[in-house]
Amino acid sequence: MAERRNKVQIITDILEVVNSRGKIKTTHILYKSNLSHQKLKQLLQELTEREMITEEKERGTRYYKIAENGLKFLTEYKKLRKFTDSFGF
Amino acid sequence: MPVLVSSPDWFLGFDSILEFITTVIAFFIGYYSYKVFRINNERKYFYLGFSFFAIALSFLSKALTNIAIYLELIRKVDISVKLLDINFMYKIGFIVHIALILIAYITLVALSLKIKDMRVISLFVVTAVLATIIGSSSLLLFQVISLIFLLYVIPYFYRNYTNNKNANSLIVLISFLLIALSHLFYILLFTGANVFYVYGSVAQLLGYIGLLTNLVWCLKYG
Repeated sequence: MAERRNKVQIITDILEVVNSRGKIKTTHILYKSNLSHQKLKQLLQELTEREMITEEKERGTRYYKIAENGLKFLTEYKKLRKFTDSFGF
Repeated sequence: MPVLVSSPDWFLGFDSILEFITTVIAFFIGYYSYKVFRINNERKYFYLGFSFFAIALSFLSKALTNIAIYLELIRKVDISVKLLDINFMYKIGFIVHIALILIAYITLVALSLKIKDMRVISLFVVTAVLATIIGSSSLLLFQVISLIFLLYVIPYFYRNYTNNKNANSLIVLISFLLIALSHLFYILLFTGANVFYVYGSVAQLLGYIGLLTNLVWCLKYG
């Protein structure tokens, strides 16, 4: 059985999806992140407020892009996790 | 007691330098593990950080004790006073050093064997520390128990390496093999060949340098 993800893991997954696509619709994030619509909406709002992602509207569709803070967090967190993961705990 | 009895004369003082370096390395590893815990709140990283902070404090205690003993040796006082002071300093430094190292290793054993029950972990700590302090050959017993604990952790690092096949997990495996080897050298010290004290100190330092290399590599190249 897969381990339950904590909030940071979920945020990291969202940021990775957004980063990998450059510009992504909410429905695509929803599909990739395996979250409920309500939970995702709440997290996207939080990430936007923290300036980790930016929201854009194009012809009525909402798109998300990774912001500098989000990219910085993602890069630093991945480096730290690589170190702790090397112990395998 | 390796410093006074078993260390070659030419190595006196160098061991404290090596222990200070180990202190700094263990502190950095503890700090970055704790940083991961602060971000994702996963207890296992708290315990990983805790074990390396314990190792750092342990080596700091050992290095300071050794320096205090050297200073006492060169002090111009009566030899009986000198020996009493050295004996007292050695006992305090030794107890702090072994207690912290054993706590650190038991934490690593608990992490690798997934032991979560604090009663079991505290039982290990109390038994190992008391047996080592009360036992008649304290230092030998400490080295043997430390080696046994590491022999329980190393297969975990080996499995981690075979599962991931990456350089970082290989460095961790090799580092802990070197640290275990250092305990083996310290055990061989009791055969009377004091060169094993030098081998033990160098193997130990190389082990921690390996862990530092892994840390720097991850932080620099990700």
